Amino acid sequence: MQKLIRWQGLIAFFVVTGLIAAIIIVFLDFWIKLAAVKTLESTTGAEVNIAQVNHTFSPFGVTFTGIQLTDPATPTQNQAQADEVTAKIELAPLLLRKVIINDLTISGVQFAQPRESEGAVYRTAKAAIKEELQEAFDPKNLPSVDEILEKSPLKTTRAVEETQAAYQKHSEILKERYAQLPSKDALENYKKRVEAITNTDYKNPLELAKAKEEFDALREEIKEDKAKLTAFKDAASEAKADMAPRLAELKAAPGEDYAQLQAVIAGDQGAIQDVTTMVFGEKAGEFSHYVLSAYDLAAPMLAKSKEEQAEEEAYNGRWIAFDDTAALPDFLVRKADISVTWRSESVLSVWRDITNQHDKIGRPTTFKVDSSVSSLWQSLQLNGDFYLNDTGVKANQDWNLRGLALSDISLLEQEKLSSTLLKGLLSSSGKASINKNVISGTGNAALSQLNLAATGSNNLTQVIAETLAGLSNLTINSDIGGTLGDLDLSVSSDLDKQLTAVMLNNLTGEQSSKLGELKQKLNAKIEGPLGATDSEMDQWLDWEKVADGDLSSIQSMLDSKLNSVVDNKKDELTDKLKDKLKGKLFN
Amino acid sequence: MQLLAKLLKALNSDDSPWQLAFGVMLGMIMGLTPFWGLHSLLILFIVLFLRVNLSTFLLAYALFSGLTLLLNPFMSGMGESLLVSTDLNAMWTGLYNSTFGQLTQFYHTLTLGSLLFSLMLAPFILVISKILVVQYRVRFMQWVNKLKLVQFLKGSRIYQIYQTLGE
Repeated sequence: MQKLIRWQGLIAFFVVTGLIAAIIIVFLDFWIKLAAVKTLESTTGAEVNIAQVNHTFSPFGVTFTGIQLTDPATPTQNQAQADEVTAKIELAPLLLRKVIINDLTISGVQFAQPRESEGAVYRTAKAAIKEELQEAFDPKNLPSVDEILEKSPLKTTRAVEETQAAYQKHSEILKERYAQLPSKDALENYKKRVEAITNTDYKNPLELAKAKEEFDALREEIKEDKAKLTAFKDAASEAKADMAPRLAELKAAPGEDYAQLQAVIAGDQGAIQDVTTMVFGEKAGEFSHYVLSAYDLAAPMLAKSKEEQAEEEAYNGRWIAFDDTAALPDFLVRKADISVTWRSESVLSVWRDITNQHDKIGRPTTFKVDSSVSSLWQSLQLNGDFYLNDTGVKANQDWNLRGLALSDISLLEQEKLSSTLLKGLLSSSGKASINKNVISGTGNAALSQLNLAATGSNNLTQVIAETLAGLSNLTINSDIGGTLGDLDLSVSSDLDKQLTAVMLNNLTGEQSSKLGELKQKLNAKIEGPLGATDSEMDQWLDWEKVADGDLSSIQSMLDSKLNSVVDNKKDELTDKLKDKLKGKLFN
Repeated sequence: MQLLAKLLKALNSDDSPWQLAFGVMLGMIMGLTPFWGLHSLLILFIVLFLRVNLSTFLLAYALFSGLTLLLNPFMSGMGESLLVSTDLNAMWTGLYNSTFGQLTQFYHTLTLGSLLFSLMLAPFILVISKILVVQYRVRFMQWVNKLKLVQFLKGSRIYQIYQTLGE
């Protein structure tokens, strides 16, 4: 036995295992920090800093202090940062590789704050909207009227094409059917034959029966021609009904195109149309980011592609879960209080059941912000939920913000146009939903008591600046679209129309002459088709009148004359029969 | 050089061929399976508490750890097929819901697959190692000891230290 056992080995065993345990415990904070930084960096694609990590064993918990997540689009600032994150973690589920956090507190969350030093970016950010806006302000040569007409999707062109196509269709049908109509001679012939039948004095019923037979055959012939006349008349009516609105549309189209295209001559149409986006888009984007930031939390949960995961699993193996009594997801935060600091005001959001395996818990993650009167706003309410499973994300959210006081907000700082919101009140409400990762929603932002300062450096931007400076109220409508993690926001307001009107009042001589040319060319586009169609339609009307006359003549031939002949003969024969009977009875 | 010296020391020592062979076998199991696990603790206990040759254990551990680069996908697949087998589902579920089962981490495909694979390989490795050690000592030891490289190694400080420790 002694030959088999090594007693010193037992001591060595305890020393080795003790050493391993000691190393784990001593460096636990370091390893937690390392793991957290690596995980967050792979999710955000940019440098993550954590100042300090502390852990406690009873209850088991971790506290992260000074967390900064670099914004990959703007590495000089943090996408988000937090003063402290404290998590109380259930120890037993960790053996099953499940992270169950009973209580999570995140305090001092701030967005878009400057960093002390520029953070490293590991994934390229998308081109910033600013670059696109800068392009819109570049002065361009006025396009020629022909270029405008060629590039623009004109209503006139469409109306001409549609009218011509419709006219062609009806014209062919009408010509074909008109050719099938009975000639004047044929109608005259019918008239003569009818008169011959009706004017003959029939001596006996046999003659009358024969005439009736002849008349019936004639009647069938007339009926066939009548059907042709009716078909022609129906086609003519249909053509008239179809062509009338088309012609009206064709006549109105140049006017409508002119109204639309005059903005192109008056200035940069793109710039005018996008002025709401240019001036308010960036801030609206920021605001939407705050409002929809909950989805930023959901997006990384789906970020890792299944393909990547499969490759990793093939090499490192995977953890297979079997039914357990608790039916826990791999990651769950039962309750979280997240406190976001904005302009020295703290907004508390309360979260329940944060996970990426909602099928396991059978309910969605919910979040709620209910902030009463503060120094910044009158009220802020935000409610939402999201549910993640294999098919994607399903989420709903609505918000209602009343009376947010705005002051000294730089809206746009560019060489050719700069604008600052000196003072104003913002109220906003809206809702958004996600279905299978596709976001849709609408929102509106009503700005009141506005005081805007703006300066422009060229004709176009000066007009924009003057219009902005004159604004006291503005309602901006936004459409939220895109996919999870790639939000697409479009904003619009009546500011664009206001600007076009102002610009049209400030036209140069060249612009005025181009407008005249535009009007003339648009009208010329419809002159040909409209003239040809009008004359052809006159011919259709003539044909229709003729057909109407022929139809009534045939109808009268068929109805009145034949009936009277039959009736007269019937009466005559009845009288004769009566006379004969009287003679026989009374003589 | 260090590993070679270790091996030479072990082969030339008075340890029985079985001690050396067990070292190879346990080193193989430890090398093929993931380090963090209850099984590793058990192997470490056996290696240290019983008179298993530590040099061959460490050598085999290093050698078979390298082989995992090639073998991991196969071993993981093996574990996966066992864990997803409907016939065994009741057993795995029972194990999964027990503290012991959770500590074994047998619900991890690679842990289960590699441990089973290495256990299946173990008897063969043990017997083959024993035969090789015996054959080496009988046929090659004297010839190898005459090699200049070996003489150089034996004269090295590292070998001297091992020699001292072994006495």
